[in-house]
Amino acid sequence: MIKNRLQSVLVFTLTLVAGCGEQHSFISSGEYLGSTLASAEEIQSVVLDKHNGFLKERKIGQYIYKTLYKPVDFIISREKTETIDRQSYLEKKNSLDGLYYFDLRIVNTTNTGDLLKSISSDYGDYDLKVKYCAYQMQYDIHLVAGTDTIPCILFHFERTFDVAPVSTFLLGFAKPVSHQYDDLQLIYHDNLFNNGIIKFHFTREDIENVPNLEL
Amino acid sequence: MSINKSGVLACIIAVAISTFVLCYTVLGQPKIGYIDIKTVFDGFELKKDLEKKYKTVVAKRNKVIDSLYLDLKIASNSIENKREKDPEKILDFRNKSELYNQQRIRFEEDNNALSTQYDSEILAQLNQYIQDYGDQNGYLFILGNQGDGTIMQARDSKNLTKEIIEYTNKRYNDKK
Repeated sequence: MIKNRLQSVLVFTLTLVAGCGEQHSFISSGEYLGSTLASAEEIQSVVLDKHNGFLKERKIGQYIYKTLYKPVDFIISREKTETIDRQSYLEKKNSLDGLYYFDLRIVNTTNTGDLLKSISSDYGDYDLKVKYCAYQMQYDIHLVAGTDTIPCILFHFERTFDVAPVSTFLLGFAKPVSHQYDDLQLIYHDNLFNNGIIKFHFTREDIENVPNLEL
Repeated sequence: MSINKSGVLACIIAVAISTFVLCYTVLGQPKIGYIDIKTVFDGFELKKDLEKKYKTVVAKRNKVIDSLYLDLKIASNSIENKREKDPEKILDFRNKSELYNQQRIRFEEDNNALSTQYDSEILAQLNQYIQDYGDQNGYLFILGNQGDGTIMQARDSKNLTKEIIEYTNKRYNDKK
């Protein structure tokens, strides 16, 4: 009788432990995830969920400015093929780890077609605006961490031409040695549509709350 | 008994009417508020940030003008101090004088253009945030008082200036 009871208690405990071991795969927004493991799809859904503080949006007039803070595991999860081994994951993570990565996307809500054509008077003007986006806009973007103002050192302008009224800018900022635990503020002075200085505030609590990629 | 019944009925009708009147006065009336435009504009942190940028640009331009003026002064002194006028130095003075005047006028125009651009940038964000405040808080109208007689009289309770300054700065700094 006692032996049977012991056996049933053992089976129950084992079931409980096994059940707890699987809980990391369930993710809801607002939950602390910094030390958990998640699949590539789950990491993407966490980061792209507006409520989790990685994705910010601001509407000014007819333009919407969207920024996305991209944690390293999120970037790897986007590139992840089914067979990524631990070695190549760590190599990738080490090579990406020195920077903060952001996407800045500008959307025109009233026009279709090329974003820059809608504000250009002629082809020469359009050409100047394309050149500004490709080479100069980088200097109008900064990241503030504590008292450090960090210049944008990685910049890429992604054109959509006439396909959509959207332009995307991929940004990278060197992580400062100090102020590692401060909130981040992405500051963009919009000299393209003259909408002033636009600030996006990312709390440390939010941006560190991302699960690690499960291999 | 019948008096009691009609009394109760009258009471119910009275309560219903007063509830309706109360609901109409509190909820039914359109929400209207006003702001002091100059105070909101001056209290907006984007204005303060752009003012700093403007002053930095103007100071740099003034340095260029000052150094051109110094060159001009030196050229002028070198002519005045000599009895015989050197035509080369006179030509140099004229060129420097022309450059100084051209640059001064150009910078003045550029400063005015920059000031106008920054004003329009401030207004673009301010307009959007005030519109958002109105939408979120159910305002039908938010009127702007410029002190020029557009609003002759309004109750202080309808003055949203302080709330709007707080809201626009929170939105600008992206604070929750």
